[in-house]
Amino acid sequence: MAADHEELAYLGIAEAALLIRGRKLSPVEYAQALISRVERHDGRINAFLRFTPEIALADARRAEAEIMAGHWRGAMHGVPYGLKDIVDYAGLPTTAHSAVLKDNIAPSDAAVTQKLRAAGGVFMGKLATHEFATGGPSFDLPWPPARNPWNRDHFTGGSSSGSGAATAAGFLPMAIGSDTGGSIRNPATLCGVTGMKASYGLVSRRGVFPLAYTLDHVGALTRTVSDSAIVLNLLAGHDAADPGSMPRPACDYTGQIGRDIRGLRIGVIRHFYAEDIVADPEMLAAIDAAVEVLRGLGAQVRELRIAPLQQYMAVNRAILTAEAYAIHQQWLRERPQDYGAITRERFFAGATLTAADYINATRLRAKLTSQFHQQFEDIDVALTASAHDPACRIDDAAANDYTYGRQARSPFNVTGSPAMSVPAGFSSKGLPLGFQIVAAPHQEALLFRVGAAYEAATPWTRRHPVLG
Amino acid sequence: MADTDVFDEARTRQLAESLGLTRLTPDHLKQLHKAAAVSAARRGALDNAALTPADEPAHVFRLP
Repeated sequence: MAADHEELAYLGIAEAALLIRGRKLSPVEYAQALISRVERHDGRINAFLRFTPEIALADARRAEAEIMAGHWRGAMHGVPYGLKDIVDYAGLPTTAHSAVLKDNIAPSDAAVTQKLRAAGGVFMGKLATHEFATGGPSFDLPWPPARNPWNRDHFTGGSSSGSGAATAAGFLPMAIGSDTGGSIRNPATLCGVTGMKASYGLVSRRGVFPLAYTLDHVGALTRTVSDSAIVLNLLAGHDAADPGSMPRPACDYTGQIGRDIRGLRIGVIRHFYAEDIVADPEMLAAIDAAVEVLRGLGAQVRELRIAPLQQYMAVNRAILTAEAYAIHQQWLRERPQDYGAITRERFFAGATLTAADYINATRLRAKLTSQFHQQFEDIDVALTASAHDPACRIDDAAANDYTYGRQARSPFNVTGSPAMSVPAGFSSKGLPLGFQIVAAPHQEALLFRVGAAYEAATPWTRRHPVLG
Repeated sequence: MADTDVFDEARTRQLAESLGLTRLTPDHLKQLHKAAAVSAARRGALDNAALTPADEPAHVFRLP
């Protein structure tokens, strides 16, 4: 094996699969390299809430034996991954980063865990999250918050905070996250990686602790668009045990990657980040520059006006807090002290919403969704901001509060659309910037095509943080 | 919301008890007070004027 540890740290899934299948990379050596990187650096990043090198090595040895015997299972065989700690792995605690669930042992695997295990993936551990996928970054929980590998004094974004940090730090080529108001795409943007949620119902939520049933999506954070598509090929599929799961014909989500984007119609929802909530100047400039890159690649770009961002956000927040409160009501009554302060306050907001508020929010959701989906008669994909600001300092509570609602991700939890955050450069302080591409329901392959074309034309995914 | 802008512990405790939240500390009550204001703002931000009686919820009851 020629590659040194640094090269292995930033190996993508596609490259690793080629090497592993060709027996040029040993899954055991690959796992050992990442284990030693985690051991060296994670004490200062806190991406892992529960690191499981013994399971990783056992998985890697099994994968290696199978591959040596000629049984290669596919792209994830022998490739390390991690799970946000709201995703069940049988026999291990699923804590949701909360004292409320600190002794909660998962009785069985989540659907996505089952798929990753069956694919021969190498499980490295459970990753930090904002408490119950909402309240963070918090310093009053049993475990510390994850820190941004690009600058450890800064926030990772959340709630899939450990997933973003671990992927950016070269601890893992892929981490599973969840997204209810943008919790995959936010850490992807702020940590400079790719984060994608597919159409609502395409990836099973079974075995993933819910935040809000009708808005929750499960998906992956990776360093490249093609890796994201590879993982979706594995995760997508109907699951009768998930009431929101939707039967769909099998699809190769990598199928359009590498095709050019000449003539594709891109609708830029600029008012989301230039009028409704004005983005930080560096973020705004990076998104506008990304639009020009896509125009330069031959896309037909035009501005798209839809309902104001605030209308989508109001609907998202009303539904999210109402559904979340229904889940947590009993625990908030019996053991309110076991929640972190941020989470408790966010969940309390659901307590005084009325049934009419919730129902009206879902009625508005139906209207907004229908209006948004109609736009795809005239465009192929939409483009807008993900986060409106680069990562703020992790210890600046006021800045975290200010930036919390400055985002354009939650509209696409309301509409259930496939949406992906793609890196778009760096701020003057060296912090990642990014933007978001959105497609019509079940047009994930098109989303990956546009994202991959942008990625190939720009250098951003080839830069990595110096961990020191 | 003018009358609820100022934190009144007794009044907030009454609200908490009506919600079954009987184990809240004074700090928790301050959080509940703040959250109630957030909730009211969210209610106000919903564009309910755009709804007609025929507009159904996003998820409706369907037989399997």
